[in-house]
Amino acid sequence: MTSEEPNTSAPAQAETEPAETPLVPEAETERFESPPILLPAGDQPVDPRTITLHRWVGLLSLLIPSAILFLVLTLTWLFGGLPGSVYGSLVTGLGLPIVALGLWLWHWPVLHYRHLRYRVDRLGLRIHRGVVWRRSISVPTTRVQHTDVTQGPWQRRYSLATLTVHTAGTQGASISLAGLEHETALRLRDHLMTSRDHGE
Amino acid sequence: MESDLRRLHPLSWLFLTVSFAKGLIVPLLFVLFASGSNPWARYELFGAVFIVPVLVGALIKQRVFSYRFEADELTIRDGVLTRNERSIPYDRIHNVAVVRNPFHRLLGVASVRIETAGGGAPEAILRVLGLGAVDELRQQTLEPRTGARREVTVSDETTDAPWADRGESRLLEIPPLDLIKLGLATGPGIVLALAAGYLYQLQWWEFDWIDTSKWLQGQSPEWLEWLLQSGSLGSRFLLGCLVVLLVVVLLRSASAAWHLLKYWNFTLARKGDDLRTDYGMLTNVSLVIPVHRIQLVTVRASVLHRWFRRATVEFESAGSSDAGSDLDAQLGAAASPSRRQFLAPMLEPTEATSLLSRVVPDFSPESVVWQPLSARARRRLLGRTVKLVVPLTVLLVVALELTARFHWIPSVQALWLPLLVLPYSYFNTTGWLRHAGWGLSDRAVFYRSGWLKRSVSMVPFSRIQSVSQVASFFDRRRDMATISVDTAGAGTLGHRIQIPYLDSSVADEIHRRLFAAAAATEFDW
Repeated sequence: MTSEEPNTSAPAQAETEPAETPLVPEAETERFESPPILLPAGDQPVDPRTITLHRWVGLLSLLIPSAILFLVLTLTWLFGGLPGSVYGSLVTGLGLPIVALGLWLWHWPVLHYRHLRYRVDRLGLRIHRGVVWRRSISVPTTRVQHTDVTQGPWQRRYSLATLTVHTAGTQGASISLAGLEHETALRLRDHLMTSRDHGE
Repeated sequence: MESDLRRLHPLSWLFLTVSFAKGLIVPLLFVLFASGSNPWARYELFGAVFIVPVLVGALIKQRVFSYRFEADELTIRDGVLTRNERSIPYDRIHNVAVVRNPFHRLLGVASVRIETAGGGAPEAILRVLGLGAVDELRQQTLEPRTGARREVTVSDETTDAPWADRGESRLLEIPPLDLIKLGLATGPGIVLALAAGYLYQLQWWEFDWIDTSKWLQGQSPEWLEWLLQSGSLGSRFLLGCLVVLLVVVLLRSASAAWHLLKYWNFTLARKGDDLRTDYGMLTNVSLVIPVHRIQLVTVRASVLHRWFRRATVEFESAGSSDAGSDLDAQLGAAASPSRRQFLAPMLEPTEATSLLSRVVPDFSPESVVWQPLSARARRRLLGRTVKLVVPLTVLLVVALELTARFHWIPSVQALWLPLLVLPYSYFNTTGWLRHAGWGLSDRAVFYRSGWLKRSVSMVPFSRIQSVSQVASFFDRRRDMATISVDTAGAGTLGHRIQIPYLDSSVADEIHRRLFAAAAATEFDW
């Protein structure tokens, strides 16, 4: 912290009785025993296979419609519905943006992956994400109402999963983290739920 | 089970009919208008087609509807073909809202809505109950939480206000004068007035000045006649201002009258762990709010508030909707956009602080150390305005130059844009930043903002559901971030904890502290 460090009530709080919800520095929060499940410390990336997954999903959702489009155009041209010059300019006019979009869809998952980090510790779950808009959200374990681990058909192929944490909140009523390895997702879920029960 | 079935009040069918009929108003009107040239002949038919089934439906509903107090939950049975039995655990009930309009009061009954944390629509509507039954319902549903559960006792006495004064302490009462001030200070006022003024200005060039001024002659003072007769731009502008002023005054007066009726005799009382507000002249509303269900408190004061030396204290509680609106209450309340309710509609600011300290100590702003937003925020905000206004002005000048041949506005007039916008922006930004700030007490996080309309919001650590930190593209260029806090039952409108323009190191620090503090507390439904 710089000299601009906010002068909050931390010293004042030391005078009041500690039972009152104190501003606990991370190290002092020993309210839960050491987590029963071994978790890697620090910020973690999600599973790198999520890049492949995103690429496939992105490219397929681009390639299938464009293939159909080109097929229709080509057939129309072959059967004389379109003059050759119009066909040529249509193909280049549509083709170039589609190729550009394809390259972007190839590259984007890497950026997305690089900027997605999570951390699960005694306090709870923290997620950092966003390439252009950087968001980070923290959910204390004591606020976790319930959790879901879901696997879509594509995710199952790569044994990936999405962990969703539900709180009693409003905008942040459910916070999900996609691209975890299924095993990891289950372990995180167990950790969040058990330390929640410890906290109760 | 010694507790037996309870039924609705014998006159319920009357109110059920009305509520069913309300749902049919649209189709009814449609049929009425669609029936074309001779609607008179069909009125009896409508009566038979619509009212009779509605009446029968109401009678059946009254017969099948029953409720029962189980050991831990309220069980409600309803439905003819599809039988439905709903169990609502007592400890999940957040609010028992009692609404009485003049008809209810005439017949000594009340509509009761049972609200839980689910937000949105109420869990159950009991339309209608006798006052004794209301009292019993309140005891049964709200008391097990605070103390030992009482035996089921049905009191036969039907006093006028059966739930009054049982170990209650009255916290405040709002005098009528303050309600008028409240209406003047909030009102649907300024926006409507501006819109009206704007419309007026649009038609202004086609306005029949001669006629109007003739009509006004003789009944208006000399200065007004002078204004009307000289058709110059300045006098028209003055006249426009006058009209706007008149509209503002009219709307504000209407708002004052409305607030006076709606919040007539507003009282806030405390009984054990519950707060109760009672208000309303025509439709009497009575709400019970458990203190620990309050999630966020906002104290706000507009210019007029400060002129009257008053502030408005609002709160958001998980799962309650705005029972204050009669229409909502009677239609069964689709979630209103803002679920905010008054803790105290009009109060001296110092009293507001002491009220919070006494009633909801977690929210007390007494020990807050206020911190400003980033020192670089001013430069950023002013810079943004300049970057927007300068190109716009240039564009405007160019456009006016290009169309000069067809238009009489000289391009110099485009300079009005920066001349008006820049000083306004300067004052607005400086004022806003002077009053904006964040702070932490030992139990809560605070955020205040606003220049003319100022608000302070507060959320105790124990009510924080999650903390998020966002840095937009522009934020990152200046190394800034926004911190916001999510709570249960947050509405879409209103001031909340969303602290923008923080230096990112400060934002990191707030984020870390709030996260740790929230993690160290339990959230109590």
